Amino acid sequence: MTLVLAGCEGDSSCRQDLRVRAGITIARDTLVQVEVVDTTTHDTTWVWQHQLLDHTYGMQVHGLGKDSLLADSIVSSFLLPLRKDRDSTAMVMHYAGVNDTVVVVYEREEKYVSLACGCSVFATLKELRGTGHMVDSVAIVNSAVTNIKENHLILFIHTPKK
Amino acid sequence: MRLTKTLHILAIMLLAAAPLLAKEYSDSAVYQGLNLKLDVGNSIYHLISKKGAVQQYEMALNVNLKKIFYPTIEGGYGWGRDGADGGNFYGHGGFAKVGLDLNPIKKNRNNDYVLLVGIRVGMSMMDYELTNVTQTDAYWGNTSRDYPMQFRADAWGEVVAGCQIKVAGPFTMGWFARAHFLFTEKTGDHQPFWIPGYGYKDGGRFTFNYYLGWRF
Repeated sequence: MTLVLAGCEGDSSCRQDLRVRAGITIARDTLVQVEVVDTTTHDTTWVWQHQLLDHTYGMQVHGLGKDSLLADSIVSSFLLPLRKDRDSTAMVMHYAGVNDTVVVVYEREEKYVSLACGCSVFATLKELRGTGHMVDSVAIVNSAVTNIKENHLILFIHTPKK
Repeated sequence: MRLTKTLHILAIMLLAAAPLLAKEYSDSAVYQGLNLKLDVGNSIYHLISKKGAVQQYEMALNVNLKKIFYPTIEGGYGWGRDGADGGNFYGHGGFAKVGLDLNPIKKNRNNDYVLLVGIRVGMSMMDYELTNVTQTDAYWGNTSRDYPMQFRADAWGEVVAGCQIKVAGPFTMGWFARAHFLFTEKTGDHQPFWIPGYGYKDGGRFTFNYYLGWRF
């Protein structure tokens, strides 16, 4: 006879956060005028420098085929839920009437949790493909996507060509 | 009805013949007989338990050496079924345990009333399947997966304590308390809720057996 000392009933509902989302930051390479002070003469000059601006100026992002927005307005970073049933997830970026479809490609690794929770699907980011209307380049800063909120990708964008 | 009647008659005949079937051994003999035991406690418990649908049958055989040492083998078969949030588990498999019990009584040892403490090493092999396991995804939508034809092997250790008491003639009964330690806690792709011979995986460290036995 089994004496059940703890956990009399099985866990029939899942209370774990198993969402696997890639953290994406959007950065824009922009020329800005910067004040430079000479430390010896204390003279002030103004120079033009490249600077990454980390906000999206009203860019909207949603999953391909989905209406719910992942990023809106001045949000500079957002979380892209990765699809568990395929090796890529597509999102659409809107800005100034221009769309850019970006596909995040990854390898999946299933981790069975329980009957109630199902599986957590971790991902290793491989590459990112875009239609080129907005995204100049991509930096994968962390390829391992788990259920921990982290930054994984930086998308460098330029002003879209209308 | 006919089968029940036949079984009743057989049981009465066995009980009546029990004193004749009991075998006694010389006190100085090393070999003091065999004890065959059928676990009925787990079968009854699993019939009334609501924790998943498990049924398990278990037998044990020990050799009485000098009324002190009881090398033991145990074995059985079981199956379990469970469900949660639409997902289903079904597994079945056999198990075996080997070990040694000692009778710690120092004075007036006899074969009718025996205390036993000992250890076991258990192994099981189980075929199982998981069906309709939901992968929750609030944004893209839920999907489900099946994992058919899965297999896992487990191993564990037990510390046991119990007794073996003469009822009538060769018939005995007894019980065992077991503390078990799973060696394969983290192995395998899936963690089942139950392991044949070991019990519920998250059900605590202790199990009990209640035996009906035959000494010969």
